Amino acid sequence: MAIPSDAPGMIPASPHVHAAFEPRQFFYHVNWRSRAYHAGATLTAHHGSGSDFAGFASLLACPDPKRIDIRASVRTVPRQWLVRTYLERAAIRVYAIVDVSSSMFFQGEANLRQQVTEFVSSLAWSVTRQGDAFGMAAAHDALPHTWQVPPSFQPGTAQAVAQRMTQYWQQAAPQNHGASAMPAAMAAIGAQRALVFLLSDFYWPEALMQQVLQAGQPHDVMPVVLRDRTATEGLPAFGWARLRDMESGEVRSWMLRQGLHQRIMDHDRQHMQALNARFLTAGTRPPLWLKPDWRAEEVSRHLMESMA
Amino acid sequence: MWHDIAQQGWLATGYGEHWGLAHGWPLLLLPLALLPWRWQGQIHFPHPALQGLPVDPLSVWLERSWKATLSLLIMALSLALSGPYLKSQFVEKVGRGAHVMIVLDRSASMNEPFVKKGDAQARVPKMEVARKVLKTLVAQGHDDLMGMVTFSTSPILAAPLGNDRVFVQAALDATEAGGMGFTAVARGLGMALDYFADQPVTGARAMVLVSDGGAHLDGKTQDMLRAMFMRQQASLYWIYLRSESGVSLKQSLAEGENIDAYPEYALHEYFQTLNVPYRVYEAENPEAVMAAVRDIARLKNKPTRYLEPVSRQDLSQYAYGLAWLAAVLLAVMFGLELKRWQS
Repeated sequence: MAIPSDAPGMIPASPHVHAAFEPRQFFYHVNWRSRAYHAGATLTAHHGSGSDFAGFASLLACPDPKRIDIRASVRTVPRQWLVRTYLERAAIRVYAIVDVSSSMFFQGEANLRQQVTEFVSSLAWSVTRQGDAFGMAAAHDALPHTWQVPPSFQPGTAQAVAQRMTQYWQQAAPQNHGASAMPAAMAAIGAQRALVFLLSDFYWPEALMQQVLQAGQPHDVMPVVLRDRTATEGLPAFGWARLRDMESGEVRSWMLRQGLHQRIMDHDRQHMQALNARFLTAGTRPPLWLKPDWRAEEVSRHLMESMA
Repeated sequence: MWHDIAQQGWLATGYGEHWGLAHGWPLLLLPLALLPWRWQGQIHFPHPALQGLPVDPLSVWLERSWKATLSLLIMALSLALSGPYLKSQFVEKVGRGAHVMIVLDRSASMNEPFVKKGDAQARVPKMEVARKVLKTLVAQGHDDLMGMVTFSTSPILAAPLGNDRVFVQAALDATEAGGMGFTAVARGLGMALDYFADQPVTGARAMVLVSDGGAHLDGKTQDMLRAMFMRQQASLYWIYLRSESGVSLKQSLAEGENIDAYPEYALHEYFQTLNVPYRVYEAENPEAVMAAVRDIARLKNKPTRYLEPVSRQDLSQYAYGLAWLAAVLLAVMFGLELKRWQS
């Protein structure tokens, strides 16, 4: 399905933001079988004209004399002609589900929005190059329509997606938006198994986390954690600071000092381990902690290693 | 019913009776003290996820104390502006001493010295001598209640009977303006006695009459004064400043002399019939006056209970002090506050 290039309200992004688009290609592989019929790289369960040997079948059942296997036929008792059958390879759908809640607008050491744009457009580029369908959805408390891209094989998907994202980021940052529509975005993928890249900072309440993971149960979910290091590390050495939570709007003050730094860092480490454990129990792939200076090779390596 | 309760509560606060406010309108500023608890105008650094992070009790209390201090500052300032005060009150005190009422003659003759001849030092006016000596009397008795009435033709209340020394001293200073008129002893004494009238008998009462001459009292006045002295139980000390030409009270009159020609003598005769302790000090010179005063100052007797007035007390200084304290605290906390997020 093509991306409507003349979507309402779509304005050409300003060149200096868009100029940063430079897709990087990384490679992924899945160990489950596609159920689609669109030609692609992933093994399917159905027999056809592929190159992956599936087994033998009677010539009568599968009347293709080209593939008669004489050795196998000779061994049969009573004699009959056997034909080799093969599995087809088909495309899969790859989704990027992006959390665009207020906390993703946090500006610290790294620009999370820039990171999201780079990663998603690179993903779109890689997916299109690999011959799979790329779809995208995003959610905060609602589902912003700019982000909803149905799966598409079109070659220009990466550019179009990058343009859309850039345009979205240029709007004013939404205030006090949570990520409550994430389960809905996940559910919108449909029942057919897909590879889902879940991009978020995962500063989620446990209930939301559970809902999202439950909605992602039929799919091959690859959590991509985008977190700014400066939220919990490298805080000002001493002083009294008032902080406002970007999502809930809760105000808290911190009397920053040695002891509190240590506690915050310890807590952050614990939270990180807890998050890893949470994904492990939920049956997703191990999360990819995306650093600001991520490289496509690292992502490919992680994807290969984590192929469950 | 609620109205009554509110009214009783209002009365119980003692507003108007014990304390008051100079201005009412600054109290309208008091609700501003709620502002720090509502106002979110400070610099807030955005943070992606605070919920998951540990709560720091010290920071929580710092935030609360910041708000409380700000409220306190606003309240203290508006209270200070409204100017609360304690109304003048009476404090009961117990002292030892006498109630002394000085009755000072300010007639024209008091401006004259004791002796007509002699050098300037000897020719000090009688008034000045009396004033100097009375001042030492006033300065000595620290627990005495004192008052003063001056009289010439009419009595003038100079200082009411009380513990206020400065008042009496000032009244004595005021007699520097020269005397004038005649000597109306009876009215001066009457007025002074009046000041004992509304007081319980809690100490010895003494009238110190300082005068340089007498006056003739008619029979009706004599009876009235006698009755007043009896009623008030006041003893009388007369410091008679005798000038050179004056008659001496110590020696009795010569036979055949008319008593009306010597009013001092007639007065002395009359005072002796008052049935109250009476002493006369005849002073021909400053030293003699001094001796008389020393005698009177020795009057120490049963405990004296009296009410001392406390003047109206301004309470806004305490509110200002509180505001100052709050401001210093706020300054310290403001200094602690981070203006920029910089590691």
